[in-house]
Amino acid sequence: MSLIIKKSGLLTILQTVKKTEINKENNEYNGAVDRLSPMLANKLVGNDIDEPTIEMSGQPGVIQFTEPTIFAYSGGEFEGSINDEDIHPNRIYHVDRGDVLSFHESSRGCRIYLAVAGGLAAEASNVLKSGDEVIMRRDYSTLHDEIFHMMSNKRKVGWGIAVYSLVEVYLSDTYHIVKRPDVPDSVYEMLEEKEYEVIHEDNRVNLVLKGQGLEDFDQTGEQPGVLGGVYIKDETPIIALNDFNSQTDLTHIGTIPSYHMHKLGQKRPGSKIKFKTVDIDDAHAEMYGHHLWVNSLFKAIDYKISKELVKEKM
Amino acid sequence: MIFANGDTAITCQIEPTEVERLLATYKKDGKLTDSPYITAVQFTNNTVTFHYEPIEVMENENTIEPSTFVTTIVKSVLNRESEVR
Repeated sequence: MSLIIKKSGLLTILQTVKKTEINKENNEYNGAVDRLSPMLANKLVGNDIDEPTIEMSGQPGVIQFTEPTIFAYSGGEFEGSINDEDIHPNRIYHVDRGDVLSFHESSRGCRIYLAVAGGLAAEASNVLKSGDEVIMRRDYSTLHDEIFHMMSNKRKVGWGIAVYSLVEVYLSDTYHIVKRPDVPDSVYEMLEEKEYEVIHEDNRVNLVLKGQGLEDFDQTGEQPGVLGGVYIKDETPIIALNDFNSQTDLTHIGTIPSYHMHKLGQKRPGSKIKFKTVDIDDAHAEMYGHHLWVNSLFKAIDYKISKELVKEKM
Repeated sequence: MIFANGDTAITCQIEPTEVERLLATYKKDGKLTDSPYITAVQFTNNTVTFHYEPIEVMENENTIEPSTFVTTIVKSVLNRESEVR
């Protein structure tokens, strides 16, 4: 039994959380564009946080379940429905055989990540088309068994991760950029001076911005393509996402740190971006703060689930 | 030139001949260093980029400057290669 992709939406892909070297069926697992959301969805359903999830961009797909399943989705503010019942991101749901999950338009963000208790695997290509099936791995732990038991007679739990809990990482338009030593200061001054606007995303490859032009300059040879790298193309910045080339002839001016990539992964055309240059030690201090915040959020989820389990047993 | 390429990578911009030597070592040994902190290595014709997990370095080495710590590892790789030459 499996999940059936009834409609594939704009881009639906089974994706690992981090870049992973799995060379199966020539699939590329370059990691989730918004790495925090799949971890949250996995945490909610009792999975290991690095379990692959279904990443859906732009217009999410329509999915049918073929057996009782516990799932959660996180990311953009896409409200959804199961059959005709409304559902929301960052909550735990229990569905039955034949139930159909679909999504409405997003009020914020452009991607969601669907996690299923016990895990998922691609049958063939990890880029999912209409009619494809996704294997349910059923790698169930004791926690999964308890969650299934807890939800045996209900469709959802009464709590979830509220939007305000995630404001810190998703709502600001300011993006740090770690400077490199061979870039003239004038480039950073121009970059920081005004806001940019996202005009286009090449799916999972790069974000194209418009705004104040940047003077290009000579940089020796090829540059490495790195996640979050900011490059100059036609005098405007583009930002590398997960499927960007590993090397490029474009001029590289710096790199957005990992702790700002979650919100970048939710930017859609029309979104604003304001750059702020930082040095590497400041970036690492921010990164560590972010790491602690994520851990505290995970602990809060563990607490809520254990409280729910205790309540069920009483 | 060695620089922090974001918060999870260190890039060395070096002569293409030096890149070729490092690439040959990498292909032969499958790695450039025994350090457990280097998670991946990426080559262009004139750069080598070392990827790492800063949180692991910070927590295991009790440092708030993981970039400095990893740069030392990277420099030792470059020095060893130039000594081999």
